[in-house]
Parts: sequence; structure tokens; C-alpha cells
Amino acid sequence: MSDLGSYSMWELFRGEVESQMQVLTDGLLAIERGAEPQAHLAATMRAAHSIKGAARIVQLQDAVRLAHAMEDCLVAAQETELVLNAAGIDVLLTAGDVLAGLSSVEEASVPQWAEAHNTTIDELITRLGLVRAGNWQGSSHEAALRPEPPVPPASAPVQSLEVVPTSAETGVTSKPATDTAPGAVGAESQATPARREETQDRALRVSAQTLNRLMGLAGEAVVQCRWFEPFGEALIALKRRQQEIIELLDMLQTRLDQTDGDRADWLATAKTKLETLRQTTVERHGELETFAMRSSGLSERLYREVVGTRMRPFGDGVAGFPRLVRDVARQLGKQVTLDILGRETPIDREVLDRLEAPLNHMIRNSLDHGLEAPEERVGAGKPPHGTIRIEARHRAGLFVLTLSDDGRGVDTERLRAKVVERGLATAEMATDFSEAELIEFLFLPGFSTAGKVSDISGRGVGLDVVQEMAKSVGGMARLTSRLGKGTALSLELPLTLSVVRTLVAEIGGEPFAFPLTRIAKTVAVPATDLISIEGQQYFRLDEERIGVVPAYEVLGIPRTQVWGETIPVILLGDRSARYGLAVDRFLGEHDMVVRPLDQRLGKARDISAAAVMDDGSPILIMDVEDLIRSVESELKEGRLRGLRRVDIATVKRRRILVVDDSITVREVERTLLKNRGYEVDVAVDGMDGWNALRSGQYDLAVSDVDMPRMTGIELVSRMKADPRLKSVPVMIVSYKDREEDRLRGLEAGADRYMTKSSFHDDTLLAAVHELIGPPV
Amino acid sequence: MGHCRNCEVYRQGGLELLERAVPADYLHAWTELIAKGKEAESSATTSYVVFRVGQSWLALRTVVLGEVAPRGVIRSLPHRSSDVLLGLTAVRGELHLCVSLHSLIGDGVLDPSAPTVRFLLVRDHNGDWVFPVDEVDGIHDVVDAAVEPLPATLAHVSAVYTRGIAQCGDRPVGLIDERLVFSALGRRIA
Repeated sequence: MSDLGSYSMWELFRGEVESQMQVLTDGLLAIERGAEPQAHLAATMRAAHSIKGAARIVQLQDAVRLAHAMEDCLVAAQETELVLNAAGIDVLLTAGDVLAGLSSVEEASVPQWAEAHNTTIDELITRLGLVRAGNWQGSSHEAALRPEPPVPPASAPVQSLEVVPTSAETGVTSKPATDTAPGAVGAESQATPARREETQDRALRVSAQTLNRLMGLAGEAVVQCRWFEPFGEALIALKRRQQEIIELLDMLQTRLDQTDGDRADWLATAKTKLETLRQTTVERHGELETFAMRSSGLSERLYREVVGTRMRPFGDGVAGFPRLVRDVARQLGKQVTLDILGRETPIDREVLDRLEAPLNHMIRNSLDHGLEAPEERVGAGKPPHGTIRIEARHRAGLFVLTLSDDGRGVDTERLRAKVVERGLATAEMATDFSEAELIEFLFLPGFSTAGKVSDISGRGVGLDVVQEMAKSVGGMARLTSRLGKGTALSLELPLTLSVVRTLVAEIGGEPFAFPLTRIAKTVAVPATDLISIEGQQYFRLDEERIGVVPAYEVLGIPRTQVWGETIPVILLGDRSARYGLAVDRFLGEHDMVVRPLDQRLGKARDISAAAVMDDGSPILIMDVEDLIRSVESELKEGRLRGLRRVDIATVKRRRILVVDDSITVREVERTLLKNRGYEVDVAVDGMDGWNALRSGQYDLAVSDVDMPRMTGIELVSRMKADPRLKSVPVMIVSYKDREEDRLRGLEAGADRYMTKSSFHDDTLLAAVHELIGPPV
Repeated sequence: MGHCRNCEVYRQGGLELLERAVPADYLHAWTELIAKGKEAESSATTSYVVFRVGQSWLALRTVVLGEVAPRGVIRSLPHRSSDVLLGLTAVRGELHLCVSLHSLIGDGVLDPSAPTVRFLLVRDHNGDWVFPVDEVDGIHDVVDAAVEPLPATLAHVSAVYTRGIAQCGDRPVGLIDERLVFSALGRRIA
């Protein structure tokens, strides 16, 4: 609610003009193409009317007058014999541009704007009058009236995003884009005005902050639901204990039967009651499971929906292109149809925003250089009007966008000559290039084949901009062309930037996430395969020598472990320079919902973003490009050294047996000790521990006190009584911290008695170190 | 059955109420109350959340308190974490900067094994901060007029974040000026 409340009237006016302008432009273009005029006229007239109303509320007389003249014109076309020709539509579109320009002005500078555009508006109103009277045939200086290219009206005070409620399902599953039938003008005209309006109405403005907070809460709901599982297990344990008591009572009953009638009765009653209790536990557990399943299902759906709000239909990002194509084609005297297929295909709003500029370049390129003039086309046996087709669809978890034209295509022989002329390759080399290799040159910055630089295209910006954009979001761009038939640019982009698939690796005891698209591969390198030159290590991989640097050093964090026989390595970089980053271990692949880093931090070196893991703990997402730069600069300055001998454990490591009936405690102790470099085995209770100790070689036993089958105290006593085991040090780690508990443990023969709070600091590790020394 | 307002019984009841005998200590009670009135005038209070950092008991205005959260995992930032900036932590699924008030005010270090440790989430208009505290006492209302000035030894030190001392329960507590703390934190993490 506060979202809407914080917008001023001016903001609301802007929003209104923005959405109505789209309806207006779409409608006018459809009319020009000769689509059934009545429906489009009605829609455009309504749009002009709405703008007029909105302008009246913010008291902009000029805008009211202009919108009113437009409305009159459209009403006349609707009710009389008046037919809007291209020249008339030009005037209407220009008037629309003026209004759109107004909506991008800051509220404070509106008076200046009104003053500056006064004459333009008067002139436009006169012309609209002529159009209405059917007396307008165009003007040679039309361009003079055209306002500066509309500034993207993104200067709203609150950073806001438009949320179109698409379901998360469509965000994931790929939807065939071909449900809009292909056809010359078909795709454009199929988007009926009514349909458009409906989409517009469904969009809401939500601040990015609110969306992030929603995402956090939804994520937290998912994490909180995980609590059900251990609780369910606890109930099962409770049930098992009850069963044990029932069995005990059974035994007691067999003894009592003959001797005492009364007591046997009591016992029978106790047993019945216990049965009921057990039954209740079973039922409650069942209910809990159902509830847990329902609520985790719900919270996961909620989470997916929230993540899905970042998706928008592709059509939202290309709404301006029909107008662009129309205007530029008219200027060039070409006939061009724009087909847009797959408008409904969902795509991350951020990717969509970034697509706009490069697509704009490419469409201008196609119009200017790709498509021929009508006479030339007819001469080549093609229809006089060219076609540019934009097609969006999902394929294999990627968003695939194809921009193709049926123009003259790329002349590879001319390209070959140009490559030689530019000195990019020798003539001999150039003759060997395949078509695909030649086309690669077009992606070089500043490389243009255009004969002349026009104000439409050919400034050497284009393909390199597209390439840059695709790479920046982890995608790729490809160009294919057939001489005389046309050119096609295809972009493969990730569906969303808000969820990235990552490899999680542990470095210095902490997890870090590496986006999968940014890493070349992972290798487990045997320590024996490392070759050392001047203190730097490398290994061979398919004839390639790859230098290995320890990740903890690059990141400047302390080393917490030593490597064993194999070293987990992440390969970074491209073919020209590859580095192997040695990490502690791989923790697996995870999808991360990317959250931006706090702005107050500025740019954090080597880190691009953060995320919250499944267990609710934070994790940093690596900026791999930055990391490569870090490695290079550190190497250059000689600060980075390779893996040292001490980094790799060659000696047999000390072994520790951890005995505890709680899986949590067991895991905490195991991880703690393992990270330090010890080899750790676990046992689930005293008996299990006793068996393990007798059969294996251990340097230390770490045991709990209260355990089923055999307590820790008994385990210690047995060990100290065993001639072979009595020299093995034992440490008791317990929740009990009373002095008598301590004494009981030490009397049994334990070398140390620690409480479980010692996990949180170095006390446990220090004591282990004291008893048996370092891991190796 | 009720009586309507115009009936005799109702009227009689009203008269009896107005003409009832004055209780014995009536005059005295009112005298007391009116005599106390002047003191009560200055009893405006401010709500504070009271917590312990190292050895110091401190208090922040409750209006800036976002949440008292259980201890969470802190991820330090490579190349960046300092004694004041501990790293990132997640509270209710949202990521926040985690800072050390211990380092900022220079009082001891957090005892991470203490079961009383909590994370305080405070709201600054530039963004939120989370910092670990050793113990949270609770919310206290402090009578504004009862805030005492800082001892002379502290008042002359430049880096002082407390604006006064108040008695909360049985202990004296330093009232933090959150603006000073926030701006100092902002400078120290940049």
C-alpha cells in the first residue's frame, strides 16, 4: 500500500502516459498496416482520452489541448469517411512523442518544458486539425517538429519494478513460442488492442526493496519448514522409547503372573495406558508429517512465485520496436514488416532491460544494411517488402532470441578483403578462413563493413555491443548469414539473473559459490601430478599446463586445512590464460537466489553478490572475472606463492574416533576436527565405539557420556582396563558441567573433560592438540 | 429487568450516588494527588532496549530496533573484513551487514560460546545494521529528566557514543546516541 501512496500525482500521470502511449502507438501502427481499423481506432481514441484526463488532473493545459486534438482526429476517423494515411499517422505519432517526452520530465522542470514546447504544440494542433479535415499531405520538414528521442522515463524517485503476475511455472518450463502463427504481418496484428490493455492493467509497481524483502521472507519460510524434519525424527525416537518400555512391561508381566494378582492388574493397566500413549504419538506424528508436507509445499510455492515476479513477458521489452522499424523504414524508403514471435516468453526483467539497447542497434543495422530497397529486392526475385523477425523462446533452460532478416546477407568475400585491409590477418591466412571464422571478425569492436556511416547505423557499434551484453549476463551471441538470403543473429541468455546455478566450494573453512557459467571445469588433481617451477606449481591437462594457486591466498583468508592425496581445483579463465584455483573441497552444486551486496560496501573485491543457503546461512558469490584479475596482479607482484609442501599432507594423519549418539554433535565434532586436518571416524554409541576402538588404530577417542547400550563412562573404564587401549588418550565431551560429573569422568580415566560449549571456540581443538599434537 | 432512565428507581439511584457519604480518607487522598501533580509534569519517558557489550551495559532507543535475533552465521568478506566490519549475516532470510560494537566502542570481545549471545538488527535510514551483543536485558522506559550526564572522564574523550546514563532496573546503563554510532559505522566500513 505504501508503495502507491509514496508516488506523487506526477508519478501517476507519468505511469498513465507511459502505458497509454503504448496502446496508442500499437494502434496507430496497426491502422497503418491496414489492420481492421475500427477496433484499433476505438482503442487509440480511448488512450488519447485517458491521457487528456490525466493531464487535466495535473493541470497541464498544453497537454490537455494536444491530447484533445488527437482524440478529435481519431473520433473523426472513427465516425466519418476520413482515412488516416501515413502522413496523418506521422502527425499523430509525433504528437504522442511530445506527450511521452513530457512524461519523462521531472516535475520541477515542467514549466520550462511547457515554455520550450509551446510553439511545437500549437503547430501540432494546427496540423491535427488539417488531418481531421482530410487536408494534410505531409510536410517536408516533419523531422524539425520531432522531439529529441524520448528519454527512458526511468528517473522515478523510488527504484521501481513492474511486476506482471506470471506464474513461476511458465518461468521454468519452456513454452513453445510458435503458438503465435508465423506470417508476414500476422504476428503483429494478432495482438488485438483488447489483449494489450489487459496485460497493461495487470502490471503493478512494486519497489525493488519490497520485492527483496518478500524474497527474504519467502526464503526464510522455506528454511523454517526444515525444522519439521528433525522434530518428526524426535517423535519417532519417542515412539521407539515407548515401545521399549512396553517390552519391559511385557517381561515384567511374565514374571508377575503367577505371584500377585493385584500387581499384575496394575501392570496390565499401565501397559494399556502406555499402548494408548504410543498410539497417540503415532497419530500425532502422522498429523505432523502431513502438516509439514503441506506447509513446506506451500512455502516452496510461495518462494518460487516470489522469485518468478522478476520475470516479465518478452513482449514488454520490444514494444517500442514496431515504431522504430516503421519510422526508420519510412525514412529510408524501404518497405519492412516486423514480426515478433514469442511475446509471452518470460524473461528476467534485468536481462530484458539490458537487451533493449543492443537489439535497437541490430534492428537499425538490418534496416540500413541488411534489407535492400524495394526495386533491388524485386530484381533479386524477392517480395518488395522485407521482413525482420524477432523470435523468443526457451530452449534447454536458456532464453533464445533470434533476430533475422531476409536481406542481402553478409558478403563473406568482401569481409575477407576487409580483414586483410585492416591488417587483422595476412592475405594467405585470410584465404583459409571459413565463413564462420570470418563472421567472428564482425564481433570485433570498431569493425564495420558498412560502406558509409549514416545516422542510422554503421558506426562500428553493434555486434560488439551485443556480444558484450550477452557475455555480461553469462550468455553468448552468434551470427549466421547466407549471401542474398539474409542474416540471423541468435542470442542465448540465462532465463534469469536472480537465480544462478553455482558450484559451492569451501575455502578457508567457509563456503563460496562460483557461478557455473563462469568456470571452465573442475578437476581433482593428484598431489603427485603437481610439477614445481620456481616455487609455482602446475599440472598438465590435455597438453595444457595449468598453474595452481591456493584460493585462500588469493582471497587473503587464513589456511584452515591441508590437502590430502588429491587437490580439488577449479579452472578459471579462457584458453589464453587459465588458472587452477585450489580449494579445500567441493560441496556440490546449488541454485542461489542472488541478492545484491549492500551498497554501503561499494565494490567488494572478488565478490559479485551474496545469497542465503538452504540452511539460512549467508554465502558469498564469487566475481570470477575479478578473481582472475586478482590472481594476475598478485602473480605479477610476486605476492602469490604456489602450494607449499606444508599445504599437502604426505605423512599419515592422526586418527580420532568420535563417539556420540547425537548426529548433530557427531557431525559438528567431525567437521571441526576434519577441517583441522585430522582423520576422523565416528561411532553412534559406547558399544559401537568400543568395537571400533578394538578393531582400529586410533590416536584419540572423543566420547559423550549419556548414550544407549554403553555409556561414555563405561567406555572409558573398559579402555583403561584393556592393556592395548589403555595408552590411547580419551576426551569426554558432555553437556553436563557440574563438578561431580567432571570428577566421575576423570575418575573413570578420561584425560580431559570438556563441555559442549567448547565447540564454539578453540578450546576443543586446543585440547586435542595438547593431547596428540598436530594432524600430521 | 433493567430500568429506563426516566423511571423513579433510576432517579433514586442517581440521587443516592451523588449524596453518598464521603469516605474517611477522601480528602487526604486528593490532597496527596494534587500535591504530587507538579512532579508528574516532567515524567516524559523514552523506551530503550538494554543490552551488554563486553563489560558495558548500553541502551538504544527502541524505535531504531528492528529485531532481536538468535545468533547467526557470519560470513566475512575477503580483503574487506576489519575489526568493525565482521561480514554478512542473514536475519529472517534477509542479508545484512554485520558489525562489531565491541570493536567500535572498544570494550572487550564477544564471547561466542555464551548462550546469551543475540544479534540486534537496528534500522538506520541508510540501511540496516546487525551486531552481536553478549546479552539482552529487555525493554526499559527511561524518564527523560532522570538521565544523568556522563562522568567527566568520558565527557572529554572524543569517540564517545553515549549521551547520558540512566538507571534501568538495578544497573546504570549508557544511553547510545544512535546517530553517532551509525555515522561512525558508515565511516568505518567504507
